[in-house]
Amino acid sequence: MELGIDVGKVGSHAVVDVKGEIDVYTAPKLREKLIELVSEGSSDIVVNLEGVDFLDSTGLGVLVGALKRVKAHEGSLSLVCTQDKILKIFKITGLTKVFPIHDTVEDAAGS
Amino acid sequence: MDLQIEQNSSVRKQALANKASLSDVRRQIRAELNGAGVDPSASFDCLVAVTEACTNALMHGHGHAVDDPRPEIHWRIDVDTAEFYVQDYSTQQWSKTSHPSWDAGDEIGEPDVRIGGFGLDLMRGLMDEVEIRIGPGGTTVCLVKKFSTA
Repeated sequence: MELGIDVGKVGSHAVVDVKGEIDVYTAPKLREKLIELVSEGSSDIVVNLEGVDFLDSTGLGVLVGALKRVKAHEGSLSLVCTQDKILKIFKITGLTKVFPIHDTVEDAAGS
Repeated sequence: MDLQIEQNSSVRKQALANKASLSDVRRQIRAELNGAGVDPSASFDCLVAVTEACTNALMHGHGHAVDDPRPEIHWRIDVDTAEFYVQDYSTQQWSKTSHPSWDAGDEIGEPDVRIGGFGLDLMRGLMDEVEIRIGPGGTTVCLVKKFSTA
């Protein structure tokens, strides 16, 4: 199982495109990339989950950890997700109250 | 919730080798759910819940010695019901705080939102029945999803 991660830029935001399955095996790769971005000075981050086929609680933990890091730098972390099955995961765990979730990268980067 | 594992030929069984094996377990279960005509949304619910239980079994239900018994998953899928039983041989208590997601659950400046322990919340939110049986020989997480049939 592979997790694809590509990083780009939209305005002042780092945009992390994630593709594949995020679970306990692959989540460390995403965690490392997000830590790297923050340590390099990117504190406004958009994580695009449109290419994610699977997400579990370990992946949620990585996103929460990243949110904590960017907030420590007075930054932001927004998500892009329109997939009902993935949105359901955020709703059940109450994380829709924690993460701004947008339909497009442009919306997320403009928020 | 009771599965007669040894007596029922329709029950499938798989040992959980390591974290990397979870994708293959999901692939097998997804194929069977598809074969039973389960809709993709309900199938996804099952796969997330099963992964949560298997993750916990792998992280906390195994002593990591070579001869320790591996955690196992047993499952049975019909057109109207899917049952999953994830069994480990640990005497550690299964709880919200034992799941890997708990570690990331520090305060993030949102006092009205409890963070962490997502695994148990997800299993309970996605499945129709969730039971955690803790005994002297280990823990079995029992998950049941009922499908609406047209």
